[in-house]
Amino acid sequence: MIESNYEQREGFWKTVDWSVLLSITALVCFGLLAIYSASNGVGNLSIFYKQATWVVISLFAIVVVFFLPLRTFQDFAYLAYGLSIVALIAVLIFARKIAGNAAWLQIGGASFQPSELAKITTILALARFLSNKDNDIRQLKNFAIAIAIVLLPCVLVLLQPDTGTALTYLTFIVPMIVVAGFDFYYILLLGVPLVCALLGFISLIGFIVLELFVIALMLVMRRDFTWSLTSLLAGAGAGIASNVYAAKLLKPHQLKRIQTFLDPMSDPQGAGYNALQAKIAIGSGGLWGKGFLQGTQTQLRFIPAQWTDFIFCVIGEEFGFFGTSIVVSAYLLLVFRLIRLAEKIKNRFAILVLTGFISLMLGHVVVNVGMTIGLMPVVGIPLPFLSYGGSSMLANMIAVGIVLNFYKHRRDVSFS
Amino acid sequence: MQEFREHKKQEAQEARKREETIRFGVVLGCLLLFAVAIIGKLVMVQIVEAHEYQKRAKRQYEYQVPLKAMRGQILDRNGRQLATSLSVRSFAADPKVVANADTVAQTFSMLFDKPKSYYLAKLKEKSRFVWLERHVPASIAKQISEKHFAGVIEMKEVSRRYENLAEQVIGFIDSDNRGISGLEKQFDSLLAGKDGYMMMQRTATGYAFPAIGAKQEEAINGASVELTIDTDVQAIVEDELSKGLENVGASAGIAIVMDVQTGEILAMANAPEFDANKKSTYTLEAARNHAVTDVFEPGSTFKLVMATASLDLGIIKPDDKVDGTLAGKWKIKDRTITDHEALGKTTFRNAIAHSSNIVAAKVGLEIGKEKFYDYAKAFGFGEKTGVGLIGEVSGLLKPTSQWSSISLPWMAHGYEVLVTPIQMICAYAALANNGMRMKPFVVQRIVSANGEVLYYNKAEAVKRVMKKETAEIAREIFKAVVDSGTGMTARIEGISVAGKTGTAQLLTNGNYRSGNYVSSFVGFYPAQKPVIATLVMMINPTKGYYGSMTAAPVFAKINSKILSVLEPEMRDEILQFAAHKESAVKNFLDTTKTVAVPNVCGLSVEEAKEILRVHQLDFKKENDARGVVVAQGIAPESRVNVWTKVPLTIAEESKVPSLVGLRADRAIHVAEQLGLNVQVQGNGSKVLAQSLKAGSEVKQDAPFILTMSN
Repeated sequence: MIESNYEQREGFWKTVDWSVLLSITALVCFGLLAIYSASNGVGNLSIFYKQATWVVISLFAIVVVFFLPLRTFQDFAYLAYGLSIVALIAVLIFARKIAGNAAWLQIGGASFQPSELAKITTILALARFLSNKDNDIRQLKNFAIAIAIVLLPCVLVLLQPDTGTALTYLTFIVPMIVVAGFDFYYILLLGVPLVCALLGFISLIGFIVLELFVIALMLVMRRDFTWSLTSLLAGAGAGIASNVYAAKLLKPHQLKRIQTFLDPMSDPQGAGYNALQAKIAIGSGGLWGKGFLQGTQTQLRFIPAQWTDFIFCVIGEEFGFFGTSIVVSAYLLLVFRLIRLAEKIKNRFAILVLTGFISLMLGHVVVNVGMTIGLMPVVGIPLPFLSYGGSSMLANMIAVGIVLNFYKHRRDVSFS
Repeated sequence: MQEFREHKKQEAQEARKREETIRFGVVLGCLLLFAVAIIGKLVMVQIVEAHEYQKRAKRQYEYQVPLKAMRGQILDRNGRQLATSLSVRSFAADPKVVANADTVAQTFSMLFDKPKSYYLAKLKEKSRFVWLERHVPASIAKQISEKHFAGVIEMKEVSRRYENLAEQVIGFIDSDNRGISGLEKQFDSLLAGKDGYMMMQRTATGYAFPAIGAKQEEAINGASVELTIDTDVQAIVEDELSKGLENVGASAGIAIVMDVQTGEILAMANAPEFDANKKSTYTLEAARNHAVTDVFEPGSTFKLVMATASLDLGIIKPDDKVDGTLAGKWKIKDRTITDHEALGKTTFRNAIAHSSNIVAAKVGLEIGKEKFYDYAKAFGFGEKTGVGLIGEVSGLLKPTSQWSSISLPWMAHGYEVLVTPIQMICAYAALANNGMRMKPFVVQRIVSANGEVLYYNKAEAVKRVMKKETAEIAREIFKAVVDSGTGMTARIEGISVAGKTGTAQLLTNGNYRSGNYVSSFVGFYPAQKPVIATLVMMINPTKGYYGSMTAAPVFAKINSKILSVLEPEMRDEILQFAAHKESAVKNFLDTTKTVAVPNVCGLSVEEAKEILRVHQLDFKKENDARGVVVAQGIAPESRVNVWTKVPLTIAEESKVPSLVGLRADRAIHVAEQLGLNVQVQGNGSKVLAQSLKAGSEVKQDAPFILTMSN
């Protein structure tokens, strides 16, 4: 009742976050243009038509999710999560291989990638678990359950094996448990050795700088001296150990990826090929780009996976810095609106879901764009709303539908 | 207490609010950090370094394909081809693009009988372009191109084909189309033309296509070099020289035919020959044009200087008595000069006719050092003739200051002087040309691909060597050599010939080795008004060594044969003094003038007609069709009379022709012209069988298997 009053008072106009819709529209349009160009280069426009179909389906999904009752997401979170897990297991059993990864489920005529939707359901499930006042995250049992909720689908995806997608499951776990009240200090204690191990492998100097930075941070925080020291020492040990031994422990292709990230020129025809070609495509686009369908690197197929993971290159080449800054701005606007919403809303579940979505989206964008311009190593994950792929599009659009649903109810009394 | 608690609560709330604000700030800060990092890097890549990446991109997708200029032809005086360029196929690879190096190497290894590792090594090279195989036969090229290997580039290359006439003059090119000897080297830059290029775009998958709207520069084809050499004369000279070489067991032979009035070289031959089309068969020695690069002590042919100088100076007259001594020996300064035929007292004419060394020495002494030197110099000895061929040397004519007391008598009969064959024939040509020495030349003109004359030669008088009257008298004496003296074997039926034999010991590394001789004959005709001069030189003959026995017979054979192929004006000039009835000889010669039949199979009827016309041949159609020529009634390279009708069998454009018995490349060419999808079995050079029946309808792209002989 109140809801309808509210609508009558403010009008439909005010129930929708137009900024979010605007940024989504911009991203989807750019995505379709880029996929058209990329598939044109291969002479197979069916890729474009498939994606366009998925966009229409996904827009329909947004509308459906937008009009669902608010409680639905919380109520059905565990059920959805359970179904996702079943789907992920089914994938491992029945899946057909695509590019070495068993990630797709064949349902009727369409193939579907459960790992994409599972990201959303995992966030919903974790948010529901953490939003329950009885589940204090500071208790070890609850902490363990929270971690398990994320690790279960993560491991299933890893088994496909799809390392890139599995990694994206880790982007939202820390922000969500911190928002749920987990002491950041513990994250720091646990995180230091991990990050040190990573940095120690990449750059000895970076690792030392990090250690010094953490020492300063711990001095400022003035928490338990013994724990801080232990963490620091563990970090130092891990950093040095990985600097010395990691090269022997990693699989050759993983090692190569990291090496080529550090120096793409070290192997321009082999492992560094993708990273280098991506950079050449984006760089050669210049300020205004070469024009739609005029990108030589795209049309001559120099860009690897140009309609999926490296779609950003197509935009960079054909629309230049002009195009890439529009895309980056659209993502910024979207994330900014999500943060504003999380700040305004009082509902704990919604805040946690938004935190998860923001982290997930940021994680994808930063890693994907980062890898194309040489800021990150090459990891095979899609760019939200742009990359070719129906499952990813649908999952992201459902997330947007949930966000718009939250926005509609942002001042709802029963909601806070 | 209440207030305190309230206060506390308020404080806690404020603290929480503050903390939230800080958290929000931190989150926003992190977001901003990411945004700045990404935008900053984008600015870096797309604006600051954009130019660098644009260059890299261009380098990656664009590359130049050379458009090969067709190397110019080398033609004889009648426009017949001595060296031409054919289009052939070669295979190269871009090792970076080759995906399946192993399969490629395996295929090439099987086709070319080289180890697989040979190709694998090439495919591992760092370069973006390596040759795999060049000048591949069409049948094999087809097998490779059908496989569509990514990164393997098929290129149309130009291969040089020589008629194998005057090959030491023309020279040849290396596998990179650069002239490395003879005229090919000398005029390399003009013949080569200028390669153009086409910009190509390549895809990451190895496919290439011409860039749309990209720069393109057409190749400028090479200029053609037109020679004074006459193919027919040259062929006869080479033929007779080779036969002569065999008859006398000589190690090498040289022959030159020259137009005495203009200095044009009609033929210049070196034996033994080599096959310019098979690069592996040549030796440096065989490829050298000895006619201009080698020097010899001439012997008696050099008596020309003594004879003409003494007559010109009025020291002696043809009928003056000279003393050849009864013993045939004459001692001067402890050295003895010997005549091989003791003449005793005789006329000067007779002494020359029988080649008396003693008389030559005596008359030489009368001429005196300075005068003798002046005449030798005037004849062109000791300096390059300027014939315009690379490698020409100047020989050696010592200045008088370096002469010893016996130099003059020895030089008078042909020693202590080094002479090139071209110098010798030019000297005799000067006598023939009434005392006026002409500059010899081989290159008539050089014409660029668009018809512009870049260079030309014309008759050029160098120096008057003697008075016209002296020349006329001297010619009488040299005519006596052939009529009644040592040169009788040089006679040509019906034509009066003048000339001189020569035999000298061969100077090897500065020493005379007994038994090694250079025998020569230089002559010209008709003696009354000479037109043609010819030099024949046999090096190291083993069956007889006198010029009269070795070189002079070859001179006679060459010149009696070339009469039938000489240009009509020249022939008329020669025959006006002929002993036979003019018309009868002319008719005889007209009907016996022969030409070599060219190969016209695989050409269109129009092309075949044109080529036959150039070769002074006619044609007749065996059937009424309008396709390509599939057979010719007279085998290529056989000699027939001029304007003989060559029967041509022409394939109907829509009917499969009979190709059995045809040369492999011609057969493949014919079949391809008809649009048949040719597949070749066997590596032989002749077609043994064909899969489609002759006369059946041509079905475009139907497989057509040609079985080759082995």
